[in-house]
Amino acid sequence: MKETGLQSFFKGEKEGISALVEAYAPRLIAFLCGYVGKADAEDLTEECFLTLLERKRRFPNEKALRTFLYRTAKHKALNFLRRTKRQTALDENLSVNGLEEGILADERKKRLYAAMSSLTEPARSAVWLVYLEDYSYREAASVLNCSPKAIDNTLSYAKRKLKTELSDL
Amino acid sequence: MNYYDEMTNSIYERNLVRKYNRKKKGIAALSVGLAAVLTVGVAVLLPETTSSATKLLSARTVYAEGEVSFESKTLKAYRNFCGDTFARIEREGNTLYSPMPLFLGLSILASGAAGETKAELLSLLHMDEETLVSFCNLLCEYFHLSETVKVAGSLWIRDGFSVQESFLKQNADFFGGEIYQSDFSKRTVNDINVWVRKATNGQIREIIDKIDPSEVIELLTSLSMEARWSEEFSSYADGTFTANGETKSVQTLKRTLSAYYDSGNALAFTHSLLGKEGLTFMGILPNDENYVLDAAELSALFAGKVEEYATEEGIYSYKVYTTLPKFQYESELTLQDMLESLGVKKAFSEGEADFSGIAEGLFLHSPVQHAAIDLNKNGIKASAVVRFPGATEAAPPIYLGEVYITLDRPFYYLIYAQPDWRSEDDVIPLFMGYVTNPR
Repeated sequence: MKETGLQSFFKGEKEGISALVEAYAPRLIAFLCGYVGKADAEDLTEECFLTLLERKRRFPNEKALRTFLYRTAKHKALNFLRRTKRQTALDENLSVNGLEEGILADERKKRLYAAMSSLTEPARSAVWLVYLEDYSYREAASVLNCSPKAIDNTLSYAKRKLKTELSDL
Repeated sequence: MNYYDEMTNSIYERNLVRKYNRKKKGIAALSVGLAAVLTVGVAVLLPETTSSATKLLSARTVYAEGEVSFESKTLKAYRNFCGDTFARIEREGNTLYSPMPLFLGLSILASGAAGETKAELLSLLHMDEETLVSFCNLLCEYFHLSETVKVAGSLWIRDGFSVQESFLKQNADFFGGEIYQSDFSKRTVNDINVWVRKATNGQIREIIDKIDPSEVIELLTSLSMEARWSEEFSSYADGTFTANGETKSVQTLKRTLSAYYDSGNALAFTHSLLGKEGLTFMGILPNDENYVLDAAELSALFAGKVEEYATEEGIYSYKVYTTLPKFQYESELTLQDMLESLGVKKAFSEGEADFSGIAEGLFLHSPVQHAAIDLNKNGIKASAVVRFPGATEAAPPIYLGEVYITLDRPFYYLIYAQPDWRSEDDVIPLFMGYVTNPR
């Protein structure tokens, strides 16, 4: 994300918003699908951008911006679940438009992403951050607000689970 | 029009509506803006240090960015030093102690000491000389790369007094060029206080008011940190705090976590702070008044971690309700009695002290530590011529039970760095405190 794009975004200009949506909406939707169904994930993604517009924060680098968005997304998802007082059924089909060119360019990641649908929260979001976004355990822990050890535990559970999934491929 | 264009339009329009609504509340927003301008106006700029002093050496090794790794054994020795010293500090009312500047200062003095004076210092520092030198270098290197934690030191020498060149050379890296020769007049007092303000980002204003005619050197070491909570607290909750039979109302920070620590003598929880050093605040609620946060207790706390675990069936976890009052205070400690009680005696004795590696006839007198801390919903700022985190899980976990840790009576705390998350008890304590009156 170029600095000028972000400036235009914060001014509330359409070009800036469009650039940011294109860069981050697919990722946020995919991440939020770890918590809620796809339609809700799309609504919450929109909310995340509005929050960012309100805060007008400065970010030292692109990753800080991305982490801020993921963290906001997680907050919104939890609040949503609390408000609706239910655990929504997660979508079996995780396909999100616009991910192919960027994050899922690599075949291995594509297969992993397809297999993720068999996981439940919090394993989905942890797998997303660590294996697809290449976050470190510590960075993922800061987004999900848990200890790196908890990420480690969750991922070892996920790995066992995915092993059976991936073996048929 | 594709899906993401629709989203763009929707965000654009909703933002316009919000802007319009905000304008209606324009007057309130304007007065807040004015207050912010006023605050900026009052901020005092620090003048560049040292008008009267002459710089003697300037050197700073520029360290390359890279993995700095500590040895478990050495970190354990350092934590023993932290526990031993904190246990013997006089705790009357709010107390804040930072073991690191004291450790670094004593290490520098030990490098210029000989005979029994040296042996006593090394025994307190729990390390042999070789380990000590490499550990101090590693600490400085580790925090030199940090954006949140700052370690600094300076040495001041009276005009006409000479210090062994080998000592200056040996410690040039640590002082980063801040070795000054000056007349030890009132101006020097001012210069030293300006240095202290600079080293602590203005949090500590003053450490000395006069220099005794018998003093020939002044050694200063400092540690300061400023970090935000990994996850911010949105607001304060009303709460109470009871000390010495009196209950008062306080503002508190509440968070539900999924892990806690039980040493057998105290319950504790942690809140993490942003930064790559793994900075963490630990609030420790002792079971009774006779509690002492010493080296053994430090190990017992980390060993007593109770946390969630995952199996095929899901995640098992506790609900840990934590309450932490916001607090801000300053603390002044005199360290000589504590050090003497831990066997450092020769260093303070005129005629018996042997700092021949620094200068003949030199001895130490009355070291002090000024420290300040401000813990609030945004994060922690602490200096001693020297700041705290948590976990909730989103999945519907299988709850094992509930634990309440409410810091509503005198409690201890620890702020530490954790260089490697995999070894959770290999931590570096930065600040240790005791709170009897949060305000």
